[in-house]
Amino acid sequence: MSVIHNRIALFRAERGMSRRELADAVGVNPQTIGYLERGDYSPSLELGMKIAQVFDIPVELVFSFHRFEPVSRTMMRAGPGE
Amino acid sequence: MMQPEFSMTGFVQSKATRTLSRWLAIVALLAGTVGIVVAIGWPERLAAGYALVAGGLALSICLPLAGPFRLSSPRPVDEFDRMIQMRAWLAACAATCFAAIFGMMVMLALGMMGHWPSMTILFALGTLLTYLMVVLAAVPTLVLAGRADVDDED
Repeated sequence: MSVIHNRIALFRAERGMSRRELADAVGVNPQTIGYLERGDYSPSLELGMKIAQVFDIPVELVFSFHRFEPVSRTMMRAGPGE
Repeated sequence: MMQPEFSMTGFVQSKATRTLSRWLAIVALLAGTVGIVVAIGWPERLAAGYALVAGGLALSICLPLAGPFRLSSPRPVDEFDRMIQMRAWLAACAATCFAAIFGMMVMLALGMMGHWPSMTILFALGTLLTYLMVVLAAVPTLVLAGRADVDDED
C-alpha cells in the first residue's frame, strides 16, 4: 500500500491554525489531524480535499505519494529576497 | 457542567480509561479461556468451567457500556474512528472464527477419545458458544485499548 505524505503541519503553522481549528473546519476530531500529520493515517479523498480547501490550495500541494522537499532546500533554491 | 465529548480517538487517548478497559477485557478473556479449558479438558467439572465462562461473559458484555463502542455519543464519530472501529471488529471476528474452529476440533477429538455422552457434548458446545460470545465482546475493546499513546501537542 502506498504511503501518502502530507504537509498539513506546515500549512497549518503558516496560517497560525491550531489542530482543533483545522479539525472543526473539516469536521473531524483534533486527534485525527494529529494522526494525519504524523503519517499514521491516510485520509479519504473527501477529507483530503476539504483540508486543501481550508488552506485554499490545490490538493497536490498538501498530499503526495512522494516525500516533500524540505522547506529549507526550497528557500535556498529560491534565493534571498523571496 | 459540560458533558465531555466522546470519540474513538478520545477514548484511545484517555490513558486511565484505556488501562481500565484493557484490564477488564484481559480478565474477561482469561476467565473465559480458563473456563473453556476446564470445561473441555475435564468434562466432570463442566459446571465449574461454564461458571467461569459465564463470569467472563458477564464482564465482557459490560465493556461496550463504558468502552469504545458505547452508543451515547454527543457528536458523530469521524472517518478515523470508523476505521479503527472496523479494524477492532475484524480482529474480533478473526479471533472468534479461530476459537470456534480450534475449539470444535479439540472437542471432537476429546469427545471421540473419551466417549463423551451426548449431554456432555451438548453442554460443552454450549460452553464453547458462550466463550465465543466472550471473545467477540472483549477483543474489540482489547484491540482499541492496546493502541499506542497519542501526543496532543499543537
